[in-house]
Amino acid sequence: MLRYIIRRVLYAIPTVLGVLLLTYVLFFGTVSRESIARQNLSSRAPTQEQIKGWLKDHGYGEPTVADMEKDPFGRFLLSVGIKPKEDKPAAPPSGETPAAPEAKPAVGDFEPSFAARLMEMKRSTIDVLLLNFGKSDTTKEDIWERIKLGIPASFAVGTLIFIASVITSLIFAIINAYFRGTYVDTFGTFLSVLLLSIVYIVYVISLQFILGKVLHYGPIAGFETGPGMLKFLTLPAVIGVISSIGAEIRLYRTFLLDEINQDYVRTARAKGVPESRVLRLHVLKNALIPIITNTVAAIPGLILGSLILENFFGIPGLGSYLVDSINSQDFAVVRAMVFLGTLLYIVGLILTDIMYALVDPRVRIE
Amino acid sequence: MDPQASNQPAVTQPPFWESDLFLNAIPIVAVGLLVYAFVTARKQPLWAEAFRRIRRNPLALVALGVILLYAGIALLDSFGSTDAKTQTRKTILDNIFEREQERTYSAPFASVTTGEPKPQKLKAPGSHLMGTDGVGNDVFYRTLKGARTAFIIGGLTSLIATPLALILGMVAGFYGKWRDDLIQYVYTVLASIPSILLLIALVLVLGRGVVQICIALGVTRWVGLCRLTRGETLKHRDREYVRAAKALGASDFRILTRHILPNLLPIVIISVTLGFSGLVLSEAILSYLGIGIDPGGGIGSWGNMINAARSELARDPVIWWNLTSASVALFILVLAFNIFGDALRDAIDPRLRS
Repeated sequence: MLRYIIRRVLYAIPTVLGVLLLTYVLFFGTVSRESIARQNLSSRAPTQEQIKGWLKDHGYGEPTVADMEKDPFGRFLLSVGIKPKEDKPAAPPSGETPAAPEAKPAVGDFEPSFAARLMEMKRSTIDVLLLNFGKSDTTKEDIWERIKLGIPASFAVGTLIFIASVITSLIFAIINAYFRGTYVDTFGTFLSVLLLSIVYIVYVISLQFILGKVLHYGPIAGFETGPGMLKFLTLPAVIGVISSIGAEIRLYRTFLLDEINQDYVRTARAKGVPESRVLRLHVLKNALIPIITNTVAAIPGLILGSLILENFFGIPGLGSYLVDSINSQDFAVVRAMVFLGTLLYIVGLILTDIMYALVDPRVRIE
Repeated sequence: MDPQASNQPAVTQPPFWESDLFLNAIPIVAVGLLVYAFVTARKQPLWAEAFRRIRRNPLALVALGVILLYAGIALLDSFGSTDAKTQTRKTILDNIFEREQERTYSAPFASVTTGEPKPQKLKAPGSHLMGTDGVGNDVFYRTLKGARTAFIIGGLTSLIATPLALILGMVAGFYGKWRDDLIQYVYTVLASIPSILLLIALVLVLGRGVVQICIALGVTRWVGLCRLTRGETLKHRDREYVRAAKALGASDFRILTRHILPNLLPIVIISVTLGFSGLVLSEAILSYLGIGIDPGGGIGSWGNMINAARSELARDPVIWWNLTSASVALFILVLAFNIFGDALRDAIDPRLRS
């Protein structure tokens, strides 16, 4: 078993590296440095020095030969002849008159050289792996510190919705499976298709209106830590459950029906075991295997919370942090969140495989 | 195209892809291809049987009717001509349903505006079936405009993702070895990024145009189908009919396209139909996150309408028609696709036939 786990974890390493490379290319290979800097500098027409300073401040600056000498990877790059750009002396300010528009710097003046890109890629890979995400592009705060602040709220929302929706959907799926082939089942299946076809935001907007404003069920938005948290969480949790059970009921019903059609169930019935006992002891026990393996993958991701719910209800978790960063085009934060989400998801997948191997001995033989 | 040429104001000729000829030809070609595919498929026993099964399923027929109705609206919004004077393109839908722009909100069939201290008389009282929105646009007309966008998002994304998934999946499954390892690695990496996060990253980088959103959705969508195609190809590769073809000296290309591909088509069509509704829903989610279709472009979008309605329910009197109109339109189309997709799967999938 231990060997299986170790092998499974080792398999994940190239995937994580691939994700790091992909997000690096996506965010820092396609968008020009200058435009990121210009967007975040407060003055409307920043000088060359300001842009350069901002880039250096946020870790996008060009390394010098001396910097590269200090680092083994840098020494290797220098030895194969990959050198950074020479830092050009700043343009003499005397020749400029205030009326004349500033000469536009050549496009690509701030673009890093090949050596700088490689150095940055290497540094950011190691940093991100150590969860050292650097500073936010817009607010300058440390991204990891901010993420740690958001985890409790997100975890509370995520866990509550997760547990409540798994239990609710399981109950409905069992009812559907018990009444399979009757009108109850048809109606239930149709209802879950209906629930599945409504877009998430419509649930959020309309249920907040109905539950919060019309029925006055809990506060409409806001958050507080401690025991008072629960009253702020009920409304988002109810909405989260209603919007997610449509798909889950259908899935769990399939798992249950798969088991109901097995030979051992027929044998149990033939022996005269009552239907409720067949469902409870024989079917449910075996159907729980796919259900558990299907839900375990979601558990590590719970600390990310819910993107839309948190933003809409003003819960200060990671979901709202990400939405704010999208709106301010803060690439550093979005990259960090994408990586964190991926890492948690991969952990979830590994957990699923381990769970599967634990309950199903056939998996380990492969 | 030379980037300099499009910046010069003197050039009155629009680029080819914005000309009437091109824009009107696309829907004709698309409909023509679909009809051709349907007529060809009807001659084959598997599909003929599937169509018979669907015809016997009243719920599926209703769903198909709804889809065709939406497609009809989308087609009406696709044919049009450009006014030589104003240089604006008017489609048939615009000519039929466009209403005069009012000052601000007004309720359905109302004759005065809503939400102002002193209600003003409307320019076209009683003509707005679903009222008007904050800037005075007719909500019903805007809802109809969303149908074309929904079909473009679903269709173009499927057109991007399906060939990619099919080719890579078949190559990986058929050849195995390093090709398989490489392709599997690429899609494992993509699949291990939660799809909403990957979508956000791609749209942030690519931009908010319809085509860019379709590319981003395509990148997140092809993985599932590719996995499925690879598995099925792997299964068919060692079947006797493929070996027989090989023994007769058929080339790999011929085996893949003439022998294996027809056997993969049913699962491809099922997965595209079932995936369509998810794509239409994604557009709305992206709009909520502020990275959906650019609202300034005059392109209809249910997501943008729903997003704009976020604060409208909190107003007094409650502005419900904008949210209701867009979400009901979206709901009915997605529901129809879900029901039809399920029926199609039951009709085609041989494992469910006994």
